[in-house]
Amino acid sequence: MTPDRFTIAPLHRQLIKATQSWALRQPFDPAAARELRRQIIQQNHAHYLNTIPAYRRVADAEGVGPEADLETIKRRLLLPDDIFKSYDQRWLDEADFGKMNVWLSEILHRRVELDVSGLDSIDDWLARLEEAGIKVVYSSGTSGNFSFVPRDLAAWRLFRAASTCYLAPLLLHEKVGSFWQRLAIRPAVRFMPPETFVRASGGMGLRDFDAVFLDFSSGRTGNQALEQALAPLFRRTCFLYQTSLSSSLLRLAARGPRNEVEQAQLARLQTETLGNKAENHRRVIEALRRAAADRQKAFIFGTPYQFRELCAAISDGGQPVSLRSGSLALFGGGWKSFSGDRIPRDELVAQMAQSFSLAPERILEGYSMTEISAFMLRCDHGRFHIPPLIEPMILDAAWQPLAGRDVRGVFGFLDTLAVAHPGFLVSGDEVHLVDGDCPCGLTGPAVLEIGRARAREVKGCGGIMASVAA
Amino acid sequence: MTIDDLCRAHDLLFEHDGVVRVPFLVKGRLVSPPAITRRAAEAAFAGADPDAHYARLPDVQLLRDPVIERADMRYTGEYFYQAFPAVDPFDLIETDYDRLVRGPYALTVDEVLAFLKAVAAALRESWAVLDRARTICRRVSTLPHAYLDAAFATLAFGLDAVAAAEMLNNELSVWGQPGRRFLDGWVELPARIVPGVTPLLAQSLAGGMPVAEPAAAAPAIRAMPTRQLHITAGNAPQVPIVSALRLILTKSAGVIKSPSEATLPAALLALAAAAAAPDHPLTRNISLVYWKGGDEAVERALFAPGAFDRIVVWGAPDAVSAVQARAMFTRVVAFNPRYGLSLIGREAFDGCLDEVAALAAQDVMINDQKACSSSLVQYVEGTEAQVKAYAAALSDRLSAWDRLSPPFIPPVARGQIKRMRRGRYSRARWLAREGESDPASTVVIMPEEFDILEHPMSRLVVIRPVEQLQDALRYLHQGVSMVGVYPETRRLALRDAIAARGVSSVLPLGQCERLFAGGPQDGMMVLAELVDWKNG
Repeated sequence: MTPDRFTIAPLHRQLIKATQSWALRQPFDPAAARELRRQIIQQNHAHYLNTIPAYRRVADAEGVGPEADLETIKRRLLLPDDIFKSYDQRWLDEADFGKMNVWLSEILHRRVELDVSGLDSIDDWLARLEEAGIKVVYSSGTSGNFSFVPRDLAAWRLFRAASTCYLAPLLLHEKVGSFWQRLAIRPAVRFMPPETFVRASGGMGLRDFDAVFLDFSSGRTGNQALEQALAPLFRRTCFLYQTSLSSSLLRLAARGPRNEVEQAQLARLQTETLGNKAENHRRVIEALRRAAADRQKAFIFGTPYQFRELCAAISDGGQPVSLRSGSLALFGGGWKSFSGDRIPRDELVAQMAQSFSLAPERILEGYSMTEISAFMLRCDHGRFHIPPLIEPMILDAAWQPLAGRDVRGVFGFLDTLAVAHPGFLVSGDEVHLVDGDCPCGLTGPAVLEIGRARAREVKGCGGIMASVAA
Repeated sequence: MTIDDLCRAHDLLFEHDGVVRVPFLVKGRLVSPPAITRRAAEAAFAGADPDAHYARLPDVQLLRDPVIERADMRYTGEYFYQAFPAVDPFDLIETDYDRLVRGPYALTVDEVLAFLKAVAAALRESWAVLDRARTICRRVSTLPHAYLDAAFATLAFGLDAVAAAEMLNNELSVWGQPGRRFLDGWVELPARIVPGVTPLLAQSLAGGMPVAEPAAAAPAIRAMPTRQLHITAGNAPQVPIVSALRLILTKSAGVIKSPSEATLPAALLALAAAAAAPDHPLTRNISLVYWKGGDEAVERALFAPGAFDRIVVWGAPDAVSAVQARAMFTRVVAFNPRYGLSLIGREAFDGCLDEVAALAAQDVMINDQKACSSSLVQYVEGTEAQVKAYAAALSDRLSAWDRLSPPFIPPVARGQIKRMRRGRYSRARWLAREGESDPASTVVIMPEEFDILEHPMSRLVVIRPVEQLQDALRYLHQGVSMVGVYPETRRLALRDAIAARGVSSVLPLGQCERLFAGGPQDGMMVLAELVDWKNG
């Protein structure tokens, strides 16, 4: 299943090339991209049907065989994004990773037959999976119910390569890179196959940038995976927390400690995040000032809440950080459990612009989720552009696709890069999706607004007040 | 004047091209909306989100509901419009206490009961109007026919004077005396008076002061009416009627805000009061209206200090806390959203499984699983095979209900069920077929914990196997309104343990809808909360 040498299949290669052209605003044929997506999606469907039990059960229940067309897939074969947390929480509580292996085999295109002896933490299990060629990234819900998204090495490399192939030109086009890099990117995209482009991009790097990640220095969340991939590209990297965030600890923080040992672990985490907050912020601010003094540009990445905290720390110090021209700040991921601290986007951007002496157009926002193989960057015209690698859909409340070029509803998508896990998914987000040409030069579908799917109204004299176990 | 006469005179509750005009009662005044065409109603929603439900024009409020084809219980894509008058909140508030003391507060309980009889009779005599309102409701209500028909058929029974008298006598009963006496006026009590410390100290003053003689000033108490604002919620057609009954029985002045799903029952009551007793002090102090919940322009005035003595809120905690935060000096009586559960003991497998499943299904079907007493989750004590057998029996029984009364499963619930069975709960054992075209009930066996917030409340029963019924006690809390238990011996054994955890009612399986006049609701004797107990 896992090839020794990574190669991209012809259809994926063509779609990635098309996506690169799209990112650079070069001639792009949406119909041709749509056709490539259709072919890949139908191939993926047949592959899932053969190899992924959870998907096969849905297809069987719907009476759909390997020859399904795109419309059938969209209408009848979608899975919810919480398929990636459909395990029993007690298995993690009891460190029963044998059962977690069996569960993972349900949503991966290969059986997970892994020796679990000696494993007593989620991190150990994830590390052993990685040794066996299965890369799992996770995201933590506010309730501490993790979503685990597995890929084998081939799928992981495809995801990484595709991301590099379109994000690098997308950012280089306007936002980062020297004159020479911008000059070189067009012929590079045109003449290099994706695998070569990825190697060249890695070699070129972003050495005129220092990076600050408002996160833990290691871990396995989706964001941390991205940060670890990006870190080597920069001259210097600084993390807000200089420790690893273990998944067990993160789960503990969300679900609460059950004994004294866990209480002590949680206390240590709180010391690092809350007790040392001022010191951590001082260190990050110092790294940003040092970058400016070295005439390096800065790249800062974090969640809205982390940015808000950093801005407050800078404001308390009374002296904004004067980042070098060309610096960038990128936020995303929503407010999650910090929703009580939420401020309007414009206010956050104004605070960031003030704190870092950045023009608002140098402050970017991204939209993504662990379950999708794409990062949607918000352009200066307020659109989160969806790369042609993804077939997006807007669904009504009953999961039926809605037609139109300006529609609101539940965000669903068919992910062409999901070749190891089911990628025909319905998210928990409700979005406003538009389709067409954007003044920024990009074309195709884009998300304008994002919110969580609407809560149900209280019905009758009954209804339910809160999330509780039953 | 009959209800029918009023409707004909003012063109009320007649459907014209998918639009119906619905009146309000504002302190005894029947207020009709202006005439509005379908085109004008549609224009009010032009450019709005397809899910938009409410629109307001300068002198009319509009509700837009999707029409449901009853043959297959699915949306047709058409809309139906209800037109209401605009609301001026200051018309609803009464601050002339002397007028109230001379008016409704001075009524005797017998006069209140006579008023109820007259209103109920007016409703009973206007079966044609009731039938018309029921037909209109059928076009858009998510309640199945059978439930809707029953609700309209029993509307007048909700105002039954005999039951009302029992409510008063039981809920306001103190000092061993029937409650109505305290509502009729001051009741002297055979109480031993403790004069307090100051009169004792006063005796040591020069010249001394005599301690007041108990016989000279016998203690007396009274249940004083209040000014009440009832903000009702939900799609149970009876809720505004129950609220109005409580308002009337306590001889109070006040406002009933209908839920958007049950505006017509409230309008029928308004018409009945206006037809049967237009000048009665109760009619002249009751308002039955609708506005969009959260409308600041209306609610700012109604929640202001001094506007009402009681605010009764049915709704979600955020709605309740929003009211409490804004009405800081007014006592708020809250009916929070809650839900029901069932506990099935292993005795069910002693040859009576079908009967037990029938009882359990009955508790599921209370108000089509949308009442706070409806059973959403059932804890079953037994082996794996026994639990499967129970689930199958329950599924069969619910299928029979489906045939008797086909459900409307709204799109959001269909999506939620799909999300559950394909996602987080995909490893559970689902008894209904996926991809089934007809809406139907669903039974699922979940060995693992279930997040109650994900329950779609659309004829879906979650069965949780337990080794012993006591294991289910950990899932009980204040949010659980009702627990139905089988068999009776186990109910009696567990009753205190269940009630101690915050559950309001612990009843025999299959009897969870039962009511009696003078019983508590949500841990309260509600009428006692709605009056002010006075010393005098």
